[in-house]
Amino acid sequence: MNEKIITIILGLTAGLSLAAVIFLFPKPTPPKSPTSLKSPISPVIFPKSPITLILNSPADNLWATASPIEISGQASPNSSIILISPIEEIITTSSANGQFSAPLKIEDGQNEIVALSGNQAVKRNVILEIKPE
Amino acid sequence: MKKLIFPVTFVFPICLICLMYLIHPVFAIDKSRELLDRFATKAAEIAKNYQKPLLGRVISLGAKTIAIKTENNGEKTVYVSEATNYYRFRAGQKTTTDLKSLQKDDYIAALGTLDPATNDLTATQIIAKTKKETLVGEITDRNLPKGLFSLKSLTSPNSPTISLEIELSTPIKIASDGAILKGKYSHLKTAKNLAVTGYYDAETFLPLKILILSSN
Repeated sequence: MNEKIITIILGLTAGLSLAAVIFLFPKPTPPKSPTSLKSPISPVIFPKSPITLILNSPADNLWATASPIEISGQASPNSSIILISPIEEIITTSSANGQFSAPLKIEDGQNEIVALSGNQAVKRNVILEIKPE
Repeated sequence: MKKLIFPVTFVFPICLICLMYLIHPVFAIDKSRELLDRFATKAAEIAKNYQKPLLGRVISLGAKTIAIKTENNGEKTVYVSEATNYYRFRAGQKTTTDLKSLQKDDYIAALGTLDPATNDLTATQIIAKTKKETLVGEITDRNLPKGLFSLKSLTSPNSPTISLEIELSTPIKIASDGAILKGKYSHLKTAKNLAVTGYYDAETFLPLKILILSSN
């Protein structure tokens, strides 16, 4: 009889312990994307020729809901980029890896955005929605 | 029988707790909320994909439709409803308007939802406004007394030389040493690169503002 009671107690304890481990164990997190993984050695890119001016944002014919909008892209490292909208002109500088980003004011309705770097120019249309009064 | 006691007592609590997890209202509500949130996010993402603007000149107007010629010379139909808001800009002033006041050749931006099957747009907002553009080019010739300039375009290969009449009152700025400074009319010299923002009135480009791109 004693053996039975001990076996039941042991079974219950083991079962509850295992259940507790299952539910209290931290949930597995999704694997991090390769971009977020830090590499001990950062790759250094030496451009052989001037990098083409690229606008990552805004996309052409973007529907914007607020001004200013963020203009971002890539140009030659440490170069000046002039950003023009119908209501503002600004100068920003690209980082050592050529990335740049800056806010630019736009007006209601159609806006042609121009980014200039050296003798390169990239244009985008952005439409700012009018907030109903 | 004795052999079964341990496995039964071992498995039973696990099964019980798992069952509780699946059917307990607290967990069930959490799961339902999570599912609803996921569904709402996905629905919003899909709806956003079909929210598009269309730009173009009005070709014709119907009772509930506007036919426009888009930038790439395509023809699109914009559907309107009672819920559509209309705005018009004149001399920088915004006014609310209606479908009847729109005219052929008006440049409009239509914001709404695109029908993926027909590629037509049902507009929630129509904005009629002069299309502003920025021309980038180099001054090749100038006649200061008359205010006439020839600009060799750096961005429009189809119109390599543009004739501009720049008034003395046109705002001029100059990009110099990483800053935008106030410029003068006398800074508009041959071989200077300019970014001229303005609009076309028929075949004539009317400058609204000028940015001189080099300080030399």
